[in-house]
Amino acid sequence: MKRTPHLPEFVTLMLAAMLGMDLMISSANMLIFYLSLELATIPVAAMASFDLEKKTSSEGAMKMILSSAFSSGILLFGISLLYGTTGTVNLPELSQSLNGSPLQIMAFVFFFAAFAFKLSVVPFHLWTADVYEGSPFAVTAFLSVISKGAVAFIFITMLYHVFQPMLHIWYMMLVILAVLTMVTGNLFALRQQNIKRFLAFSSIAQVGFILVGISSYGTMGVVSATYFILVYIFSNLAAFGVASVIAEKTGKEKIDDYKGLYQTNPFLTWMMALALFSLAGIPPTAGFFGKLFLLTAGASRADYWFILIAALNMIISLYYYLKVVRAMFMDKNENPVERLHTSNSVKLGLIICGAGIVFTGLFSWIFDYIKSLS
Amino acid sequence: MNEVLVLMKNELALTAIIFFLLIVKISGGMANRKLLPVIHFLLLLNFALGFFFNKEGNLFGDMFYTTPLIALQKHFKPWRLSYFTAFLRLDETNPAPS
Repeated sequence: MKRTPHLPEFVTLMLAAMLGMDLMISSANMLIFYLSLELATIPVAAMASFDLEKKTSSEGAMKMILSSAFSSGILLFGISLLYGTTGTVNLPELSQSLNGSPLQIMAFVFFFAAFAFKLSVVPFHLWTADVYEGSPFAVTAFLSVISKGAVAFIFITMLYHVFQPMLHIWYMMLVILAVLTMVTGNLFALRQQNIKRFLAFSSIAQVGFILVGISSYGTMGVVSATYFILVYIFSNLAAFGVASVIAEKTGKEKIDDYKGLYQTNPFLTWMMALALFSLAGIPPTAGFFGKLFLLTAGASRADYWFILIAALNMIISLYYYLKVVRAMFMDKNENPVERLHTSNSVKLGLIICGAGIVFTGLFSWIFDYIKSLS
Repeated sequence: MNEVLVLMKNELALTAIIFFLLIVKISGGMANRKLLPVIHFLLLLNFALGFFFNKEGNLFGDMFYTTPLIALQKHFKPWRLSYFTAFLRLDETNPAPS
């Protein structure tokens, strides 16, 4: 990655993964869905091992391919059970044929587990931090936003349109796993020192919030999750963008290295702070509105204890996000990151992300537009 | 045929860029500095394409379907990808210390 001698191959792999994700979102057949999921996963594993100078890159890729193979196996088993009990793999027909028999419940559990692997839902998240830490920054960002976003979209479609007859089963599973995911992601993020691992656990916690919105089972669930994923893209890309600039130029990846960053790199510091404010859900950033809509959607089913736990988790997350902000702005460092020169394209990318974080929240018509489409 | 072009515009555009990159590679390659702006431009085109012709419809015996919301969900991605290639340019011009 550092000198990118194989740029066309890298971009081809990335585009192939994108193509898989596009097909996956549009699939109305289990087999098309499975094939596109594989097309979306295998190139990413190859991308994860692109930094040939780092052993951790190969290790991350190996862990990713093994966990993906495992989850794909589980998914295939679930699909085969569904086919065995309903006689079809077409999603609309499948939805009409489900009757909640024990075998179908088992199939659903396998299905759910496979999605949980891809989304890094606790307790299927164990691969995430190692893969994120080992992979090149661009791949980590790709994995955390694009990959998860696409899987979340198809996950919503599957739950709302295919497994709709099993609503009472998946709702309870979703609530329990959402709570586990938020709590575990936050508690582990609290003690991370490496910025990649920190963002990995933070992204696990964010997935928990997405599950809160999905649990509402309604238009608001789809709209709030889609809106939040859009906001999350801007926020996470900005955070990874800044971390990438610092790591690529100085090799520094520890949060302690960010102490005193404001003195030498005010632009990067402000961008990182804006991204972290959005991830924490501090108003008036878009992250605040994203989480507000998710919690509002989740509250529509009147499980207020569930929303209370989610809100408490937002408070916990404030602590660790603001810890980084404090380190950048207020902590002293005798050996801070030196003044870095960033290229115009990267600056432009960060400014687009910053604008996205601010304006997606302030322009309410974006939410209304998504709502009008659903 | 027209319906395939409209409903699968995201997928077809991505496939076209993949083919372009393969042809570039087979024909002896191009310097990263020259290739990156071309990739940015193609991805920008792909992004711009996402604003138009977002219809609801099915293809291939209902195995593929799309709606304006699905088109929007797909649309998020080309923009993101162009951002990543900006990072690659950074890597090329500013190699990290060994």
